[in-house]
Amino acid sequence: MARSDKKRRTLAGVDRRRLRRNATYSISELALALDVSISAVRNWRRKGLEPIDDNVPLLFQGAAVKDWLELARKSRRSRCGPSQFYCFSCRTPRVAVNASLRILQANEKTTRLHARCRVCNSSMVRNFTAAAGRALFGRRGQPDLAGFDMPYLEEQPKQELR
Amino acid sequence: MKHPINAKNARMLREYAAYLRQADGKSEETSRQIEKAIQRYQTFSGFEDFARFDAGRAMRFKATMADENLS
Repeated sequence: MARSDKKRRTLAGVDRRRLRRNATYSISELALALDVSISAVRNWRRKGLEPIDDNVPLLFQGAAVKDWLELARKSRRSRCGPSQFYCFSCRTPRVAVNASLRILQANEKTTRLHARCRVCNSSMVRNFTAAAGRALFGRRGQPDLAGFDMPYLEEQPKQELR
Repeated sequence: MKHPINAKNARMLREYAAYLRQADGKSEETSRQIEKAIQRYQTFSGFEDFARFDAGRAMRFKATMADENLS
C-alpha cells in the first residue's frame, strides 16, 4: 500500500470524547471536531451513521455519533483463540507455525512471543503471562502450541493472572 | 442505544445558539449553558415540539425545577 504524507486517521484513532452528547453537528462540523476529512464522515454515513432527519444540512446527534464510533471500533476487534496470534497481514487471528516460535522479550510479568502465520508466513506477535512463556519454553524440544492453554494477557481477568 | 431527539427542535436550537453567539455577542460558554438549560426543558417535556410551549408548561417546568432544587 502506498503511503501518503497526509496523516490518515483510522476509526481507532478518532477521539470521540471531543464530541458533546447534547450537541448536533453538520458534516463539516463533525470533520472539524474529530480532525478527520469530510469524505471520512460521508463514508461513515454510508456505513450506517444516522442523521437526525432527512433535511439538509444533514445533522448528527453527538450522542449517536459517539455510540456509533464506539460500536464501529469494537466491531473491528477480533479475539484470538488458544494457540492463535493476530496476523496483521491476513487481518484475522491465525494459528502459528510451531517451528517459528521464539521469545521476543521477557520480563518478570510478561513474555512476548513471535511466530509466523501458517497461512501467509508473516510475523505475528502476542503477549503472554511470564508463567505461560516459562511453561511453553520450559518443555523439552521445540515448543508446541497444540494443547497449550496457559493464559494470554488480554483474555484473562486479573485475579487469574497471579 | 437510541437517544431521544426532536429533529425540528434541534435545528431551531442550533439557529438560536448561532444567534446568541453571532448577533448577541454571547460567548461559546454562555451559549452552551443556555443550550443545556433548554435541553433540560426538553427532557422535562418529553421532547415535544417547541411550538407547543405555553405558560402552563413553563409553570409546571418551574415547579419541577424547584422540586429538584435547580432553581
